[in-house]
Amino acid sequence: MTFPTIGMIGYGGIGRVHGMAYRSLPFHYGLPADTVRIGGVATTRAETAQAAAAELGCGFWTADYRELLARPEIDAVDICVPNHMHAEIAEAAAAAGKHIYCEKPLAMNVAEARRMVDAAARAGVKTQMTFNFRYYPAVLRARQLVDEGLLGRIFSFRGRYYRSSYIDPNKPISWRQQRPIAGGGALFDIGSHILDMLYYACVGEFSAVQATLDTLIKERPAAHWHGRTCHRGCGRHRPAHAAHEGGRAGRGRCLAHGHGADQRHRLRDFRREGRDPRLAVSTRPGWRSTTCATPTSPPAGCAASASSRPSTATPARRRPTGR
Amino acid sequence: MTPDFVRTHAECQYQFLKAVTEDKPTHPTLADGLHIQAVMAAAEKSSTEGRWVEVTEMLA
Repeated sequence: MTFPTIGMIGYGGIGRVHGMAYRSLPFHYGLPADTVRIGGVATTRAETAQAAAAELGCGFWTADYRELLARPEIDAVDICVPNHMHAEIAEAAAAAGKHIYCEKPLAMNVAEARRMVDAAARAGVKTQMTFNFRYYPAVLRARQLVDEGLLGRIFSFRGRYYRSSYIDPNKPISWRQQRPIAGGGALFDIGSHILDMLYYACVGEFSAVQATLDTLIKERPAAHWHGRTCHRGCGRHRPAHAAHEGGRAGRGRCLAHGHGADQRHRLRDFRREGRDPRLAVSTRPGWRSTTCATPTSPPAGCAASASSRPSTATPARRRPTGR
Repeated sequence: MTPDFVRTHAECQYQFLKAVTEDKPTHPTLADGLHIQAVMAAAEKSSTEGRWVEVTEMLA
């Protein structure tokens, strides 16, 4: 099996995570080391690009992503740049015939996101983005149980994603708190994840939203390279949003000031006015917890028998594709 | 960064590379990202205007 050769665009914090993950693939999946090929890397500065190439062990680096796109040996690009650059690079990559793997959130706004989708469709390239939390085994199992009809019609749902990453008000501002670069705060950064987990595992497309967003820390120290004492940014949102359709309503929360939380997600369905969850998914600790909580449900890990499946069909909604 | 965080990235990458190699459908696609983008836009509009916002309103 020969995998497409990857060109990495952007190599900050998440770029290095992607690099580490690519390098781990042969170990996880029993592949020859040369199956996963990173053919080049582009950043915005020559010195960071060169350092990235050295770390990744790839032969080509550039401070202009268009030079990477021009190389015929690159089959797919991995876009790890801040959000405001996603659309421009994805459109250029599609025009160059490269498959696209892009970090979340997809874009700064709906118009940009739509342009990216259209460009990829016109070019006939494959696309994927890193809503990677879909791939927790617990989330995959939850999706499988929902697909098998174990839950029947879902009347309500809850999801939450708490992190403590920005609980310290003295933590310097990053691009993630600056609207011109990030597009939004915690809603975009981690809210996009919990929304996708609910979308994928439980509820399908959302139809309507009611939200309360707040920026809890309105000023942060400037990072040392800015040479200023203080920035006003878009801060971190503390959203609580609900979405409902077809008789089901629920809530997704995300919080970047969750004290003591690192990566903590929970998904639940509630069948009767917020009580009696049949399915609870937690990704902490570890990644294995999918629990069917009612006595009539088979235990997690067992295939649902036909007789245990409720007969009430879930109203037809477009659900995302996937296993 | 926790080990399981990197591991979910590895699985996401593996599924992408395998799907491209075998010419099979990928997920999540950019179209899935567009839906989430519209939900986030609806959330911001809802917070500003204090009302329910239809997701289709953001896609119109």
